[in-house]
Amino acid sequence: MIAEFEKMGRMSWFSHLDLQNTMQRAMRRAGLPVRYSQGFNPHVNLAFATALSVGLQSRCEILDVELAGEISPEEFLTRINAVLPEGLKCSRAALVEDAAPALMALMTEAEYAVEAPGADLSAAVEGFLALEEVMAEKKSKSKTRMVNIRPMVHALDCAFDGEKSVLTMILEQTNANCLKPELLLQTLAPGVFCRIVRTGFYARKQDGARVGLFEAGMDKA
Amino acid sequence: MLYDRIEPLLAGVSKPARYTGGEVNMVKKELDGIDVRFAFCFPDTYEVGMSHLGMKILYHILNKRENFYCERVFAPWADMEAAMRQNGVPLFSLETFSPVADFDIVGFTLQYEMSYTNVLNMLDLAGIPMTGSERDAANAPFVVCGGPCAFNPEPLADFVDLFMVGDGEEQILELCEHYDAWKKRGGTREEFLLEMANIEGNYVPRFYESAYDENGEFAGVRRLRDDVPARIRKRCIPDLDSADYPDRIIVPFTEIVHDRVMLEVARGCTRGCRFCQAGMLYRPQRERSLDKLLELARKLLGSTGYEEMSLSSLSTGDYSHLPELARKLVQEHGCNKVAISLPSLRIDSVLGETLEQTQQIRKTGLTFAPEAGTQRLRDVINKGVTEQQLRESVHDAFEKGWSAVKLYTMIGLPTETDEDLDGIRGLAQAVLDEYFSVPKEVRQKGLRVSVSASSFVPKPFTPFQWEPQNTIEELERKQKLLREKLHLRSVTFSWHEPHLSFLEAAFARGDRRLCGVLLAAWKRGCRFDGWTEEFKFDAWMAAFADCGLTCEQFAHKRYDLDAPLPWDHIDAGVTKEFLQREWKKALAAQTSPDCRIKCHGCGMKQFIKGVCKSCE
Ligand code: SF4
Repeated sequence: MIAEFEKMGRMSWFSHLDLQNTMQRAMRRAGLPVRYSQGFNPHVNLAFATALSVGLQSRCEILDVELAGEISPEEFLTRINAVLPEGLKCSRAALVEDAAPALMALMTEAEYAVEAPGADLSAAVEGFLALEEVMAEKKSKSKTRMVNIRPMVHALDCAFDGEKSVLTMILEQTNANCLKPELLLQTLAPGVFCRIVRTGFYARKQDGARVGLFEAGMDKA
Repeated sequence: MLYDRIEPLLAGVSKPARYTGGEVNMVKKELDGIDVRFAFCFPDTYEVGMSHLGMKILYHILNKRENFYCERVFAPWADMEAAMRQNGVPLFSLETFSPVADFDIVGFTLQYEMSYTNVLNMLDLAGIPMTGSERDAANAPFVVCGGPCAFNPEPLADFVDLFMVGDGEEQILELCEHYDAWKKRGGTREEFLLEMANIEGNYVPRFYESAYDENGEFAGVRRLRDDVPARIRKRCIPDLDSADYPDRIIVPFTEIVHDRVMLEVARGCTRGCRFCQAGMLYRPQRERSLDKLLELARKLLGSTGYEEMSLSSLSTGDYSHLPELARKLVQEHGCNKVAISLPSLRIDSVLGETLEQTQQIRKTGLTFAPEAGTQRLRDVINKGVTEQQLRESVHDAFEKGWSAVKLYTMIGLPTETDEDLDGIRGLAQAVLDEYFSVPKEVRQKGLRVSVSASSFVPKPFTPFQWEPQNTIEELERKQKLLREKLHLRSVTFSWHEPHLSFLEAAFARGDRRLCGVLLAAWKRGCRFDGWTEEFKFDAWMAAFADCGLTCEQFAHKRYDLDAPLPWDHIDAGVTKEFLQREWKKALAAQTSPDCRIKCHGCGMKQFIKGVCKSCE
């Protein structure tokens, strides 16, 4: 079963590992027919399309859980939502086979909505878009290197209403390469406090058109 | 809303989920209908505080009342504290992100002495004045304290309006009820506190004063008015089954120290170890019934989804129905992948059957607490276990597949000699021998024996309350000696920081003069003293000097058997005569067997009728 869920507000501050435990316990409370891993320390067989950084909110996370019995997507949603805390909520679910690795492979981009209270970022955004190369320090587990992040920004716009800037951005997100919104924002406006919400995952159709990842996953089933 | 000002700080601090609440089973209420707002403050981090059983119980009890709202508050870690101070964000509650100063009552639970600077720091972060008179003037929340350290309240007396001594279940409700009535009726704060002072278990330090003789020795705590009790009797719930116990508990998102369902099977202990304060404070021993526990386990596992459960009490192995309880829990919940662990096993507990039950699910490490190395010293401290029993228990465990054993010991005990330290090596060696005596095909690979040595701290209401602590130099010498002796294959050795135990000893047995030291230490930047990386020993020593006192004069003091003690005005139920008798027996290395076998007349039988079943 795959399910799309949101992780909003206060829920944005616990880690990916914590999310794993939280979802597992929710499924146990809901009495869902889930399958456990074998061995010494059994865990619900549960995977996520990708991790979400601590501090980011999201409306479009995707989980994949292995079932040990039959349950309809509707029933799954009703039961899990009854036991999830405020801020975590599954919006839709679908029965598919072995979804998570397949979903990961399909993913091409992620979309974000950003709010920067008290800061006008429109000039910075305009300036950024005018450039062909923007180098930034990208950290991975083992090393830090300078990369050109400009090509990884597939869409970016900004509106300032006198109180806050509202940005939307579509950033590269594949297995091999991904641009975190925090890094882009740090480059655009260092030190400015931003609320970041992930709003969508995309895949590409054969003709190159964007399609929602969840839909793409359902199509594969 | 305060959250909007907290949110920007979170990205810059470690473990932000400590500060955001919103967990499963957190209680939500509309503030409109609330008569009494209670801030339950734990003077340590979220992970430590959330593991504490007493908080879960009292949170549940208060929130069951529709018009009371109990919220949780923890001490922010240094990075968060700095961010809060810099941005003018006051200490806040996790349920509604309210400033702590907005509450009616601010309650701290005192689990260990080394959290006292955090109490002061939290008051300061909350913008609540530190002394009662300043709070009266500012009409700030009342500050109350409970927990085991409330049995010697003097070192915090200047900062607290009310101490609640003993089992808190009934007391905390009475406090809120009286507060509610007082607030509606109107009256002075002093009137309210006077009313509280006359309820059993309550100590209002402003109505008492501390006296000292011409040599600067403590000379007793005296009443300042005769309409308050001369002695404060601790509260005691006679029947645990009738006491409220939560059927749902908060499930943190982020890992905490004890991340599981805790089932309190009993309170109190009948063993009478002479160094153990909890064993004396929580007398008499009371058990929950098997049926009640099974029902609670069912509800708690269902409402939390936890995959682990532990049975908790001072001596879980002594619970009368332990084998049956363990068997039924495994039968009922094993198929749902629930691991049931028995953490505080004692050497002579009924291990056999229970071991077999638990291993179906998960083999957690086995812990044993022989405490001392030789039979002589174990007799002195009344730890009624023998090396033979230890051998049999670990042998049994190794046969059943365990391979990790922890041995808890203590150094600096009264009458200890280096021979006793040799004995600790002897015990570790005995465990190794037993392991290798189990055939290779049967035993599990990867033997690990960890020996830990804490430093003895004399505590009030124990037979050793009159005893001095070893000096730091002596403790360090003993640690070094043990470290050398325990150079054995598969054995690791760990020990406690003796400087910390030194301070703990001063605050455990100190009098009201330590309030000044505490304040000075806080001003010098001390907090989170129980955390090695934050502990500032030099600042503490300077704080003592600021007040013209020394830590030695408290930690290393030998009190006369009949001298007034700073906690004499607290009645914990066990009598001084009993403690004196036990002290004399200790020096003669005479044991006092488990009081289920023979009553030693500790005073509890008179204190609360009909609870000590075995001695009636
Ligand atoms: S009165 Fe006797 S049986 Fe009761 S706690 Fe004291 S020693 Fe034990």
